[in-house]
Amino acid sequence: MRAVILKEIRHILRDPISLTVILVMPIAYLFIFLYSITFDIKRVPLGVVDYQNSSLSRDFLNNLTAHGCFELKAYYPDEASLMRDVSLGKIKLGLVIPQDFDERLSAGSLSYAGWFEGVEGNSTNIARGYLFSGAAGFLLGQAEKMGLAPPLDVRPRYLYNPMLRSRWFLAPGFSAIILMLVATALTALSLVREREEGKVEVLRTLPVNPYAFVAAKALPYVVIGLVDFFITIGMVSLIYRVPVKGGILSLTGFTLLFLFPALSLGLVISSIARAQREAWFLALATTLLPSIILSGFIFPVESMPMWLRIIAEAMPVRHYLIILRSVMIKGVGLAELWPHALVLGLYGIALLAIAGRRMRAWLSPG
Amino acid sequence: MHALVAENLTKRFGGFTAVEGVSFRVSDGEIYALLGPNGAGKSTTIRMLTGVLKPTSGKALVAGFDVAKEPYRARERMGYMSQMFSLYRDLSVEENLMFFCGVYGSGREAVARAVERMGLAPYLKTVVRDLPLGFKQRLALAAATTHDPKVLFLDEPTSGVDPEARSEFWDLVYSLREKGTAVLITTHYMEEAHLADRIGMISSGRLVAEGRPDELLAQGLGKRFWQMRAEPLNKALALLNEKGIPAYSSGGLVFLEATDPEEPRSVLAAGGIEITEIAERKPSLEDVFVGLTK
Repeated sequence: MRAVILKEIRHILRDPISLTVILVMPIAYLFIFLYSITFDIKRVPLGVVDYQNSSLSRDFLNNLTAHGCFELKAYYPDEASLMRDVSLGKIKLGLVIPQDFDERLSAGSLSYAGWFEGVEGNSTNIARGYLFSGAAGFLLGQAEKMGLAPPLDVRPRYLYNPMLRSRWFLAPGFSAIILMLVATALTALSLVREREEGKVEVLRTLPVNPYAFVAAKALPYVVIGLVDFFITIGMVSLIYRVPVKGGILSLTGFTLLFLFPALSLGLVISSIARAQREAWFLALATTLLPSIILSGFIFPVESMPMWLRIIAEAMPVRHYLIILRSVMIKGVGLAELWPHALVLGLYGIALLAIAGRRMRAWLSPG
Repeated sequence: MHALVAENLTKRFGGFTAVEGVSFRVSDGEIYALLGPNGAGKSTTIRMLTGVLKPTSGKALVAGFDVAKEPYRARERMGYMSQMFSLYRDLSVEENLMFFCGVYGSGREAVARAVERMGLAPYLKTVVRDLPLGFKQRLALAAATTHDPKVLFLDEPTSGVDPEARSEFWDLVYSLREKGTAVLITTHYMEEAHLADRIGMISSGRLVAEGRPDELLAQGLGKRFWQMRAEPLNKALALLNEKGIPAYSSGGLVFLEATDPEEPRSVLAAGGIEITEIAERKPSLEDVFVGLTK
């Protein structure tokens, strides 16, 4: 056992590709991913035609751009020139303030036209939300100034992510993806490599139990999984300031549990793939797609059609992601999360059983 | 008790019989060579003996333990140097030895012992990928013997190495024999088989002859062997074999067995081929082998 573990560690340390995958990839990806993927809209280029051009209309515009969501790029004399720049993509949102803006406002009604470029559905939606809430805020402020009762009064409280930062929500998902990919792919690759080089034949002449051999080869990847977990969670909490409310110990425990099905999946892949290339493809197909699209990492599983929801709920990474987010942001523990933990455990057992059955064929004499 | 016993080993792959009814015994401190051309069944036989392949019927005993029934006891007492390199190419000489010592439980001192015995000291930290072929072979031998096995299996161990490295390799094998290790080696080099204590000749999956090299050569006594030049070579061989004259070619020459040189001359003349040169020669193992299998 010890000899096999030591040998595996030496293989990893000797192989620049493994080292890159283990150390550089999570860090580099985390930076790129988290700076590029965010749902918080910033600096949407704004163009304005202001037919009123009064202090009130300028107040309204200042109010809109104050939070950095919109950036006032230019004023236009008429709609046609504004539209030209929208069609060129210079302006994503065009506002037209009518001539009777002040008049209507004093009657308690805010009136303007907003033209969105509207190509990117999701960001447009979010920008529209900002535009409405900005307008509502302005209107409420005006009503207060005039001593009127507010026409609408909603006071949301966000319990766990008070600033509604999308990074808080995305960053843990990123950890899950890296972990899943590294643990599954590297385990599969290391075993397929032994097989590809004809080492199985030698293995059958050595006085070691083949299952113990496989287990000893997989064990270093548990440690590597944990190392990557600490790297990504460390970055997520230090750089992106995502809290770990439930404590790192509890999170580590859940992560160990998640590594069980992830490594077992690697073993199943290694029993199917005949070459390292095949193992890579299988590992990517079975880890990356489900963990990005079906885990709820970006797209909410709740809004998927029923058949896809069923598939999504069947992905172990989905349950790990729920656990990660809940432990980090909400600070809950096993008492609340045991059903998800149970799913991970059952998955591990099932995958390990499949791997064991499939491996019997190449581990025992032919 | 024999160190290695092969009892009626048979292996079929579907309808194809690779090895049929092969039996032999190897004593402690004896080197036994399985000799035969590629595809004769040598590798299949050695793989059944080591437990890599399950025989269709028959059994193999290593140091008295049935390889199929008590695999771990048998494996602890055998060393296997496979045709496909058993070494890890990305690890150093020392790291490879440490792995095999660990797996066989032969302890850390065994690494130093193996390095000393096989003369690997200058390459201790070298990664196997960068090792000269001759030293790779030595390392593979070292890796297979850290636990002082009772039986050592060598599957075509010297294919591809130069004659000097081959003779150095054999010196190492002889030193293991001194210590009482039984060695089973497969080879298709006739001159290499001469170096063994006993030879089993294998052809089309069957053991066709067995004995000491001199005993096997004696089977050629009383027969006359010739070497000759005749063009085209392949047609000449085909004609001779058709008439039941044992013949093979090597290095542009035709070797054959005939009581009278006029015999092949007339056979070839009928096919329009002229013998340009012919001389009598002493029988070699190959001559005996060809005579037995034709």
